[in-house]
Amino acid sequence: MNAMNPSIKFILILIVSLEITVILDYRVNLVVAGCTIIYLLASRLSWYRYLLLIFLPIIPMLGAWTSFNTFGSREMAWVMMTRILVYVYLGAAFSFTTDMDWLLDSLEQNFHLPTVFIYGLRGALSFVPRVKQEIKVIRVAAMMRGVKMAPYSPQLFFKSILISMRWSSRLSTAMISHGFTENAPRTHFKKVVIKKRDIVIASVLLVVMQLAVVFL
Amino acid sequence: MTTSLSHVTLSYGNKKIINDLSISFQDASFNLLIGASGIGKSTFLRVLAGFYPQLKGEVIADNTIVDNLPANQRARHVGMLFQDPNTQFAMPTPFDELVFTLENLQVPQERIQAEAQRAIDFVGINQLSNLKINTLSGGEKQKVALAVIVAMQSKVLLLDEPFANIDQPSRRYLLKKVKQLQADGTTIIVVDHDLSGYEDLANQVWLMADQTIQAISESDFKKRLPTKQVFDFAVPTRGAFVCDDLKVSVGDRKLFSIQHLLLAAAGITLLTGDNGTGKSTLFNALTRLKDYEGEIAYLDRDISKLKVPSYLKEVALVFQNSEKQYLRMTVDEELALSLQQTRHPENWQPEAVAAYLQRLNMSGLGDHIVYQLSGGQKKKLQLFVMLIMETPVLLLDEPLAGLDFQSVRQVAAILREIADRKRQRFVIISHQLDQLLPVVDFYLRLENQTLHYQERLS
Repeated sequence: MNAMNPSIKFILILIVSLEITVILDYRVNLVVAGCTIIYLLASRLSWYRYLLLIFLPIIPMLGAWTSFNTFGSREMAWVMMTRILVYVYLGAAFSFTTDMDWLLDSLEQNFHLPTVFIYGLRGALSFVPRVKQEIKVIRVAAMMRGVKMAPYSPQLFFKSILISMRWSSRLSTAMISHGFTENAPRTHFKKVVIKKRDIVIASVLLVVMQLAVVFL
Repeated sequence: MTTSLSHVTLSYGNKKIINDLSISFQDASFNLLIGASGIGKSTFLRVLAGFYPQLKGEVIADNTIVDNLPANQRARHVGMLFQDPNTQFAMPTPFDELVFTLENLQVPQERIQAEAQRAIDFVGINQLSNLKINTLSGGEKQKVALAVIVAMQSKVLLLDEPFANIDQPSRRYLLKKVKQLQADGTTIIVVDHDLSGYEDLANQVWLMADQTIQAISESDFKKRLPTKQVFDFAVPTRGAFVCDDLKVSVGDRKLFSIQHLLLAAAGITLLTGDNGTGKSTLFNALTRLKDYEGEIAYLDRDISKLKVPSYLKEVALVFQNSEKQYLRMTVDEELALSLQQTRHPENWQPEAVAAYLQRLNMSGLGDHIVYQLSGGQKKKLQLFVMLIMETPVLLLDEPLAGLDFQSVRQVAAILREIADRKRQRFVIISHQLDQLLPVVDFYLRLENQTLHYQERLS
């Protein structure tokens, strides 16, 4: 696989995002945004996502521009506006291009996060798409008993919590009965490695950013 | 090698489920455990599986004390197949689930592929191995669950009514596979209410009653077996539903299509078909839980144009999973809700309700939390609250799954009585035909991707 190891990508994006919060230079923001755009273009996303990336930041950017321009300085307005752009693109660079299963495999094998956490997350992610249908079923079950549940009904809320609790206890039974043991060593069918190339690329990108901070 | 319990006692609150039980099973034997629903058979299997480490007494499976063993070591000794096919998977696909299990058991990386494939081949689920588990039917899920246990190579195999929701061909197939495992040296303990097919399989039949378990003789067991008969059915000329050019699919997979079909004639219609053919999906289409192509008309009106809330007061569904039906916490509250909302309160005076509860062996459960009832009790309560509603049409998806012999008889009799008084029409999906066939008016079969009425069954 040619893509960067997802945990390394995650750490890189995390460091860059933190650094951006303390940098008050819109040109650095633009450099980071530029690198991210190149990465997003190289990742061949769908047209829908590219359009989303063009139009999604417009309103918050205009908002930041007008409020900081009105109540602060023009300099600050430039920084805040470009900062929003950077955050949207960094977020997209992670969420639009990362295979969650691969990330979790990597966090388990390379960073030794507790397996309960990893498999709990896996379970939760697989449950998300089913939530919509489950809620529909609850409302239909209620209608069959002559009860109408509004979308904001506390009963609907309560019943959904109950379902997720039942579901989580079922998941843990399923895991235990298939031999899952907390903190016990496991073998791995798909070995995930961190390639030297990934670390080199991440370091180079970080250095480029520091150079931009110092020299721009 | 031994599998045994010595002096085991287990209580729920102040109710004793198992009292000072000592029992031992022969190696590589096939054991059938029977008993009324709610008596504690599932609990007994869970004790054997080592799910209650704080237990008084000693649980030995495959020569090893299992109640204090970590799960990854226990799995080599005891494997369990659950009643609810949805309880047993943590991963999206069968292959992933097998890999997850083998990783837990610390099988070396290079052997995982081969061992997973061996289990897949043994159960014959190659075509399922990369599909999403939540799109599989109940029977297919149970095959996958069996494959996982084959991969674990557990020496003792516990089956908690694994066939309650599945068709006869799948059931026979799975039993054959289980028998094959026994021949390879696995000890089998299975709980089932449907006794057919076991007379040639089981080495020993056990009866659970009064907080203990005793062996029963072969002749005793034979008396409980159903007798074979021939049944004749009518073909409806009118129905509450008329389906025209109906086509139903799941994802890209076409399930069935119908040119013209009358459904839910006055009386009881039984709907059968192999697992995964789309019986439950048909019910979902009829109750607007699932989209379809074509037209379904209820009393001459297209159901896609009716207001959902008022339509569902006419046509209701008894879900396969009973918990989906519940809206309240306790048995009394569930009953109260239905009694308050029923179309015919005059039919459900307190004495009438009490009499039905008595017949269903559900008296005295009033303040129990519905989610903590046994599998059979959940089913009976769910059915009863929907009978109280008295919707003109009631669709029942496996209402007999997990019920003991007595309860199945009572439920069949109650459905017949209500149908005879022309209060409700029933369409029932079930695989347990022994008690239902005598009370059924119409027999509808889903096969070869379509539905047709059958006039005779032998």
